[in-house]
Amino acid sequence: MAVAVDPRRFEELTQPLLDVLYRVALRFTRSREDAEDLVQETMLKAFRAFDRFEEGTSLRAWMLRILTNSYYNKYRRRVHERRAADLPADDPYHDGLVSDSSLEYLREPEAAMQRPILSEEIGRAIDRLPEGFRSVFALTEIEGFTYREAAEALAVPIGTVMSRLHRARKLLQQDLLAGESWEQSGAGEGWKGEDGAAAEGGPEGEVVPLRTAR
Amino acid sequence: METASCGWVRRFVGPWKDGELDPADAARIENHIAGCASCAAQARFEKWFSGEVRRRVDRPQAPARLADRISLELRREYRRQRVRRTALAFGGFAAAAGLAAVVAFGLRDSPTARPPDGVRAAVPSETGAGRVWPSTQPAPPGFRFSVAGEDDLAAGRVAADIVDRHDRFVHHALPLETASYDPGTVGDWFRDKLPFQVVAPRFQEPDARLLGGRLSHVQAQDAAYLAYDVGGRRMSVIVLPAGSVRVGGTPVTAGGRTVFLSSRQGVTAAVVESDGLLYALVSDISPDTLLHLASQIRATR
Ligand SMILES: [Zn+2]
Repeated sequence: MAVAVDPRRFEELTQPLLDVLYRVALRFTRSREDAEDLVQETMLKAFRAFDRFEEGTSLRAWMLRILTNSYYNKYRRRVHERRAADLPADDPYHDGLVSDSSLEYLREPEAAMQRPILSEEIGRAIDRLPEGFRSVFALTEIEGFTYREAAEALAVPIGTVMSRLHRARKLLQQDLLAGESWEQSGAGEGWKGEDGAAAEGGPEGEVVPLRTAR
Repeated sequence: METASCGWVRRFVGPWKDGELDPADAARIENHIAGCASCAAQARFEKWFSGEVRRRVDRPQAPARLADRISLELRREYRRQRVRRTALAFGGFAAAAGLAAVVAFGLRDSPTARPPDGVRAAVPSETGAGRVWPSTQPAPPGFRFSVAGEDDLAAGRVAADIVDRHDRFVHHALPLETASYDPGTVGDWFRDKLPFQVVAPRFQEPDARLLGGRLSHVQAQDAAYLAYDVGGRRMSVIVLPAGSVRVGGTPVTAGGRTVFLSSRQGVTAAVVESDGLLYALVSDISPDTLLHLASQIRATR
């Protein structure tokens, strides 16, 4: 049986992470109630398993890993959330989701930078991202996780984090700057793969030149 | 150095911007950008876009009630774990005893915990007020006493907890979850939320008025928190099951009741037991008034 950690001590350590957990849960579930339940479940599981946390490693990555697992176990069983959830992690330029032709604005990035982006638009566009991209984007871009931490938190290879982040950015730019979400454009049609082998953490098929890659 | 293609640069400009590339590859990108206006514009665009998102994205904070809910759940889980562990170690018989978590109530480290005038100390203390209740003295029924030693730390933590609950309420950091002047209504609110029945005390003084309550805890023990207004000052009453709490402080007799009195950080605590419940009254009102209020507590349901 796990050695009980004093709840007060546990709270001291995890209190600073509560907002991050909540925000990420909110990105996952897109519902405040579900997000609160998910965070509570995460905290309880982390409390029970706290003796298995290795000191010196990233506590927030460990907690996020628990949150991610809880989320996948519980919420993703809902059928209607499946479609967007599993996109294979391929080359972003050859997956049909983002193509150079759909990124007109990229030819004139200086002009695109003149366009203001509204806060509400950003939130909505992030929520429209396919799930695997949304979580990577939320952890790295919004919460400031390193690629390695995000990889630990989401239990995917670091190359997958990089590839998904890249695609998430392209999809968001397309959505926010070209005014075309990937869903509207139909670019995501034809994706399946709830059970596709490549869906979660498939190998990238290329050596990634990341500083943090092993 | 190997020359990077525009395609390669476009692909890794993101990780480069994020500081995730190793130095050699970062240098390749930087060299390329220095001589390629198109990729340089792309790099500026990627930085701008990330900056916009980070600046403008909504970052909601976890609601306060979530932290409270989690806090309560953690303490429940902690108790369950301790009970289970006790059961494993000593068998079922000891497990039942282990259910009564030893929580020492020890607001005894303050020299100001003197029985107020007109109140006879239950047992005279030779070394002055604030001394720990000597463990060799016979204890009134229902109380167990903290003694100098290992319990001191726990007692200090409990005392700090109780004063903390009061402070937080006074400073509006802990909103009430049920607001009513009516003790019956407030007591009912706790009914399905705590494993013991909460009785919100009624006081004779018309200016001692209930405001409401919320769920709370003292160490690993679930508790009811009740807020009162006493002539414009705040008074907290924390209600715990008596069997789960060990009491310290200076015992004084008032209105035929034994009340354990102590002070800490400018507030006084008066602890009294009634019908299986322990009531800790905490306030900065005068110790006499507090003692007088404590002496009125009866489990009138
Ligand atoms: Zn170039």
